[in-house]
Amino acid sequence: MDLLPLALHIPDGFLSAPVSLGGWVVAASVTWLALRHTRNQLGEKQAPLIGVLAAFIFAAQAINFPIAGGTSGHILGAALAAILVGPWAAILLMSAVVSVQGLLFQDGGLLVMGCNLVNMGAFAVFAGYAAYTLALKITRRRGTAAFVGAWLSVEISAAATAVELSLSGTFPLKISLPALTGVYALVGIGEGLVTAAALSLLRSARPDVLRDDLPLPGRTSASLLTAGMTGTLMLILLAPLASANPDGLESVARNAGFSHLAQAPAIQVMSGYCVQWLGSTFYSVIIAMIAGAVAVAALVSVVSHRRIRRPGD
Amino acid sequence: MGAVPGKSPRSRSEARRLDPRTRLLLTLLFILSINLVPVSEFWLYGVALVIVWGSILVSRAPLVKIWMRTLAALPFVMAALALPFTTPGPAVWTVPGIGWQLSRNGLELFGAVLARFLLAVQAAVTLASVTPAHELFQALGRIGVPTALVAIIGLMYRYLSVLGDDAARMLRARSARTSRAPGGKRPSLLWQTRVAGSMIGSLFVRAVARGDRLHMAMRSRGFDGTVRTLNKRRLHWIDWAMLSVAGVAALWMFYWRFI
Repeated sequence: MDLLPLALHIPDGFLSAPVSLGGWVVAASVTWLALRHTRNQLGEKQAPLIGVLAAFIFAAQAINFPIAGGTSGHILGAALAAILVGPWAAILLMSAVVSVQGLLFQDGGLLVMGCNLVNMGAFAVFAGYAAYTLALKITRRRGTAAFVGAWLSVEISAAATAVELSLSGTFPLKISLPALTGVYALVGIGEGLVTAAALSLLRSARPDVLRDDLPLPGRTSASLLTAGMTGTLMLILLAPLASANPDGLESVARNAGFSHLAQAPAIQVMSGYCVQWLGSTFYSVIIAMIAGAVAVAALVSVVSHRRIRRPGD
Repeated sequence: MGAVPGKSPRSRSEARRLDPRTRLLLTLLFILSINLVPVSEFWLYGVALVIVWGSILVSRAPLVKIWMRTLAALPFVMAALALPFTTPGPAVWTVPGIGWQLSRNGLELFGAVLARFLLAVQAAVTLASVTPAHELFQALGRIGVPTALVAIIGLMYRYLSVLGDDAARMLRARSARTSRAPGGKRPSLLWQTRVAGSMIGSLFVRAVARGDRLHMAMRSRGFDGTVRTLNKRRLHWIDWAMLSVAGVAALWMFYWRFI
């Protein structure tokens, strides 16, 4: 049973049309930027190298490892890709993988593919890369840094999925955020251990593979993008604090006019649950703040860091 | 892994067949429209079902395969099963003992999500099984996806089976070498992940080497970074007609829902 990382591929029907279209806008702009950056770095080598490496990520997702209870897991690979080939090339790898999984294998929907691209591409890659560089600076141990980066990439991906589900009015944030981030906090351990092991093998057995002509990270623009995306995510996650309504996100959805749950009787019934909710909303806000703080710290470090050390230095 | 989903025979009806671009856009417009249907208007899902099954019949898509793929996507319904309980609304039924409340709004939302999901999956499977992958990628390029990205996707698809076979051989080697005596101790998670990580590491080494060879092979055959295609098919009147109908339907749904 290979169920776990599949759950990040949102199928059609679970997200509302406005959220899906918003996802497409973000995904298209990020992918366009990534194409331009890698084009500058790689020239005509772009298509063959990125194409084969995308197939590598696809195949790496087929390599499973048993986890508890008879199930097995596999990695998402976004952080591994970002560490190995830099964030911009990694965006393209993930875009190619996610779009073919959706188009040909129906892993993830077509209309919601924009959101899937954003979650497993942009969010996972940038968060993973930022956390990796920050952790590398603090601990000076590549294995630990890779673990942290990979763990956070899956976690941010899950948080973004939860936010999209709740913006669509499918699941309230107080349920989807703890559920998804909780499950993926465990799944992320596998992702982190495998990513660290893969890097350790490459460093000891074939250090020459991590060479200079692999795509370099586009530092400034990648940092700016990370800033924008973590900022948006935090703004959405912190909305419950600022709002008088216990679940701010639903009210945002309602004001924007795309929650089909916005029915007056429902709200009245909901107000009876206020006290019970406060606890769970409180915890989800705490989780969000921790995640946000880590992301912002990572961002500050990336921006202030003049020269990011690459694996293989 | 490398099998192309669906092979369309080149027959006399070739000219009558819808352009891959049209099929792709129709599928997207269809999924968009069913996502715009208000939760309580269930009769519209019936209309959508007639459209999907009609197009399956007309396109002579393999029925067995479509249902196999639909069933394969069913685990997601498990996530939707939580909806009747998590959605606030008038309670219809309370689970004895636990006190969870099944709400009417939740049941409606569950029905809507399930209907949208099943309709969208069947539409997507139909698209993939009547359109060969290379035509689908070409269509992507011709509706505005950057050609560089289409080239990457195409090459990835080409090498999927190659690297997938590499991965399969590694998995076979691993299971051949890690047999466990009955009652033996289970290896630790750390050990398992280290093995998987090493496999992925060596797969990366092979992938980079293959990418280099592929680049050299393409260079020596004159590749200069631009992708050229010969197929410049034009849209027929039937493509335009279908697209307009689907576009009007989507706009109508949008108008109904938001204005």
